[in-house]
Amino acid sequence: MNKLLITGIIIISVLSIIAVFAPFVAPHDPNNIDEASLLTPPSGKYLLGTDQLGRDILSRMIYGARISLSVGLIAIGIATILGLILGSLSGYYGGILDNIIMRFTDIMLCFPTFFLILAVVAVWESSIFNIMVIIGLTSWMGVARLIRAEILSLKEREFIQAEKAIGASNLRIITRHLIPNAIGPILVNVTLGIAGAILLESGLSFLGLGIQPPTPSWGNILIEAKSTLGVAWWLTVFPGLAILITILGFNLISEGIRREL
Amino acid sequence: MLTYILRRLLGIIPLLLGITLISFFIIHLAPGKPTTMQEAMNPKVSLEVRERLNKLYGLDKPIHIQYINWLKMLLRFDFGRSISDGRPVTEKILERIPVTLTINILAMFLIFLIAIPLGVFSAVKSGSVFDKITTVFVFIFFAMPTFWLALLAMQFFGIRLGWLPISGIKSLDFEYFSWWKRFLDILWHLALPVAVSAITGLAGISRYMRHNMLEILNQPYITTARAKGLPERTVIYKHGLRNAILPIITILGLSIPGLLGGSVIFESIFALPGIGELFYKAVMMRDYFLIMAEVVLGALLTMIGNLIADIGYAYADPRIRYGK
Amino acid sequence: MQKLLEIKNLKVQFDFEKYFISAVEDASLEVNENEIVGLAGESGSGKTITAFSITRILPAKAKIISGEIFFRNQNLLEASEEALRSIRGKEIAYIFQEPVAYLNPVMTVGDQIMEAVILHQFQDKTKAKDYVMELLGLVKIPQPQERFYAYPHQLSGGMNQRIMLAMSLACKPSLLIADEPTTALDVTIEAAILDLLLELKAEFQFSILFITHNLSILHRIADRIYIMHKGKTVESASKDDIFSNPKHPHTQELINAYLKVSEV
Repeated sequence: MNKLLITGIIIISVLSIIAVFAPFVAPHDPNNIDEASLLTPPSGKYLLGTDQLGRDILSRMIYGARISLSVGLIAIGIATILGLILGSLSGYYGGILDNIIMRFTDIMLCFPTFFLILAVVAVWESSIFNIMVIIGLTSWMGVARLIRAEILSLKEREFIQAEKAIGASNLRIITRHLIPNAIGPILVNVTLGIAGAILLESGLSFLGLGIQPPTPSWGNILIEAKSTLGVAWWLTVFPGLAILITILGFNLISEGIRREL
Repeated sequence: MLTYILRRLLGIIPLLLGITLISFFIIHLAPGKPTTMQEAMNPKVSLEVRERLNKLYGLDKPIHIQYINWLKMLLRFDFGRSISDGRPVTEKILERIPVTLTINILAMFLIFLIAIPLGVFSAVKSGSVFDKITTVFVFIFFAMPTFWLALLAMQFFGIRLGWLPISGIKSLDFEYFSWWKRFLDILWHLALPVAVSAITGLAGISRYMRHNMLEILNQPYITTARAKGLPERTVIYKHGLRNAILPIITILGLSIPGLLGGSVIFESIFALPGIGELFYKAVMMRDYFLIMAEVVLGALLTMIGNLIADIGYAYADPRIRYGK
Repeated sequence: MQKLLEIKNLKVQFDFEKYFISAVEDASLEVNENEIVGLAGESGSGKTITAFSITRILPAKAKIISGEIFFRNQNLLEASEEALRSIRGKEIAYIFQEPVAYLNPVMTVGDQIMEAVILHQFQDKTKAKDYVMELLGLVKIPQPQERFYAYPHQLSGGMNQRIMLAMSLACKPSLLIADEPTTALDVTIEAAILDLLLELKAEFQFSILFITHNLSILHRIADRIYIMHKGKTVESASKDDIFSNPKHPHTQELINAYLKVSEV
């Protein structure tokens, strides 16, 4: 357990607790409009200031943490499951199946992810659920390749032959032996993926194509930051800082795991 | 080497097919016709006009016929007409490519100019204070959302200090400038976007360079170089760097999809007329021919980038160029 | 016979900050002019680190803790990096195990030899190149004109070892340290390389410190032999004495490992 890993875990744990207990942690209702305090800088009452509608930034950001974390976890959850399935099938069974799946992976990898996501968002409405699914459906390729490579290298090892000899089913071999052996690099990939997903969601929301106001997301708070550039520095600094720290946390975990391997 | 190139080129064809398939079907996944959104925005459109629109875009035909028709158009480099203003999509894209290309090439240039020496020094002075500080910076910049950095930079350099413009690609009185002044004006406008665009890439690549360099410096042939009595500088640069830099060529190619994706946000923030901003507008307007074209283009550019990177690497590394 | 190299009680450790690993505990040996000295021991006995300590081409984590190394009465452990550099390649040269790994993969073999020549002998490129061709002939590389432009991966192990030899002999060193040079080669090539070594030594009169775990090679070419075991030099004697009267149990093990009945 090295320092990087521990720091990362602390950051993400704190964040998760804040997100889960948002209603108890947030000092105000994130959607509460206070007409007396439109666009005010940080003060005693509103620790991180207010936006143009007089809503407390701190509370909005705390609820925004919920969005970011859930999008990150679920989107990458989908991506990882998809990747594990496709990669395992590809590596274990080989042959034409492998060819087809790998071709498909190659094709998907040709698309700049953001372009693909935007294109889908153009035809579907941008609800949280859709965003999670879209990010998930466009981020599985890395895990697929990883697990396939692991399986290809482990497939011929003795302990797998031994398992086969005692009649273990293919599914059992894949899930009980092959995948756990590859867990290290997969975890690295997953944590980086979550960071990436959060970044994607923020970017989408910032463009107005992600989480729609009034639901608060760190990305869509930054929309206002742009239009009030130069006037309300707190709208820019704090949400961005939150994104930075979150991504840093996941990056640290990822690097920490990598060093333990 | 030639066979390698030919093989790679041939492999592109199924990829292209797959790309067009996916690009097409993504748009057609939506419930309703792709023009539904357009119509929804303008509810006064009558039934006849709607039917004419459907016919015009071939939407009354079964979907696989639509795909084939579109494919046929692609082969003629005709990407259809933009739904928002009726202009040919190809034209709209072509007029914007130079801006995006310039920004990304300049950014890549900046990245390599700074990231490579940074990575090399970090590796050579591994464990030193310099290395530790650089690592911290790299981690932070790597985690920074670029659009946030852009906003901060705009706020600081643009508004507070007033040094650099924060939007557009030319000043208002551009028309009255001499050629030289126009050139400088554009550079001045590009300074902020290119710099911000380069920073995340810089973090990643300098890290990668450092890792590579460290590995190479542990190789046996470095010992030989030292045993020959060569000065340390020669050992590091002539023997070490020459080997460590090879994979960077591939990284170049691999960074293209990231740069393209980023350009959407980037160009929107800085109001630069590139293909990213065009894509953004197309998405907002549900301009589906334009969207499909941009997706295919993005994939195409990525593929070309990878191809160049692979072939470039194969050429640079004698083990592949003159493989046994 | 003049004393060329003297190592006394060398101790080298690998420093990993929180702990260290002993590489060489106590090594002592001598090499005189114009003789072949063998340094034998099992893998991990410290032979290579001892050899690399001589000109300090050690890996970064290796630290020389104590001991003395003299080359022609010059204390190498106290010499500056610059002084060492003028000795490396010029007075003391190396050839290594697995030559393809020890040659730069992105430079032609010709250029790599040229580098050594230009550094220590002729600055003029044409003269240097002619000299390299001479060297290639000396080490019996066929078609040297073409081979000059080859890359290491295009040549066989045996050829690469000859290239290494050419590179190290470029400046007529007085001591050639050969670290398991034939271990990675197959037996017939090994014989050819050993023949070549002996030939060149006879012609140019340099000493060889030959490191190996294969005593049968030393039986063939060495004058004197040192045995290393777990970081210490445990026995040293002339070749005949070692084989007829091994004192240390480990020596006997090494002999058993390699000597066939007929040769004893």
